Amino acid sequence: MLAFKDGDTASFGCLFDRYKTRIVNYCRRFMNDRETAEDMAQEVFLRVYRSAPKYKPEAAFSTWIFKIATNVCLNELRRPKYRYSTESIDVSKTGDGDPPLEIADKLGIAPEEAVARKELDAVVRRALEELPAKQRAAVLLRIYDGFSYEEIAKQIGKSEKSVKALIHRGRNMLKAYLKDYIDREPER
Amino acid sequence: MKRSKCNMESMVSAYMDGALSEVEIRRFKVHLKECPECRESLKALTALDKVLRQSSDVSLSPDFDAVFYEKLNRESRKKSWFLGPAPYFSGLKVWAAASACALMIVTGWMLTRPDPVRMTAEEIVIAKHFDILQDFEIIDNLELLENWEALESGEAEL
Ligand SMILES: [Zn+2]
Repeated sequence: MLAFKDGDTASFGCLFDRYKTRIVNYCRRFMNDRETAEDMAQEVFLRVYRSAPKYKPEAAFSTWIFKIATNVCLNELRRPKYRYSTESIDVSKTGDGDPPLEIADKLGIAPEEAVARKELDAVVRRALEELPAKQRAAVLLRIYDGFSYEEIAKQIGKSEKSVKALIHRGRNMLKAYLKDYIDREPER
Repeated sequence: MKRSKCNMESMVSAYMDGALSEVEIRRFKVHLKECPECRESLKALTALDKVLRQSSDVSLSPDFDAVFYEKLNRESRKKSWFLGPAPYFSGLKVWAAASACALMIVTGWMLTRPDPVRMTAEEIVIAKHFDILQDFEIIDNLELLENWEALESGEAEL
């Protein structure tokens, strides 16, 4: 990142390649819409490009780029088309993940298992959509991207104490939505 | 969602995420042994994380990169016409670029003089501090530039 900050555009290409899949998937889990998610991820990288001179090396680059991604997602959610949509979850939207055969191929699993996986994907995305925006951000950043509470606090602009509460409440809400799947989970 | 009765239940997530201090961990482990509610919560939330992590990542559309670079190009074209240099081109780099222009003018002037003046050692050191200038071999070897055409055709002696 420091090389890019100093004007090296080739290193921007490296950053783009390294982070694009993670950022698209973060936006995707946030918004539950593949096309919007890709648009937003592209917006994230445009912002990275524009604000490289403002990047301060005291925060890890990954913390910084996910902070930008969080801002982009939160702004998108403020748009009128999402504002009153809690009761109108569009089930058809959840069917736009990778096709089961592609999942089977990618993960090296049987096609029947891939169908089950696709169903689970849809249910998980719908459950995540039920969480309030900042709670959703905190849960995603923790569970899928492995950030610490300290890093998440910087990314969503809250105290570590709030992050701790947000994540715990978020998990408890998800536990209620995904109860059937949790009960099926074998103990180890 | 059921409200928990144990006031330590709110520590379960932080415990799972390694966000408790050593003292808190020790205290919570002791508590877990005697509190079925926290044990149950820990078990369920651990299983929840597993379920969540099973949901697969999506692959990117094949034209994701192309679309992005198109957007980036459109943006930098706009910038370079109306706002001058791209935003990353700031600070020292702008200074160095300006110095490079100045140096080229000075070099041109020196080359057209009948008796060219060499840069002092000190000036060379200053110029070398700006990495953009390091490509300009003329700083060290002005005569190479003077005999450029001859050198290329292999006629001049070094
Ligand atoms: Zn307890």
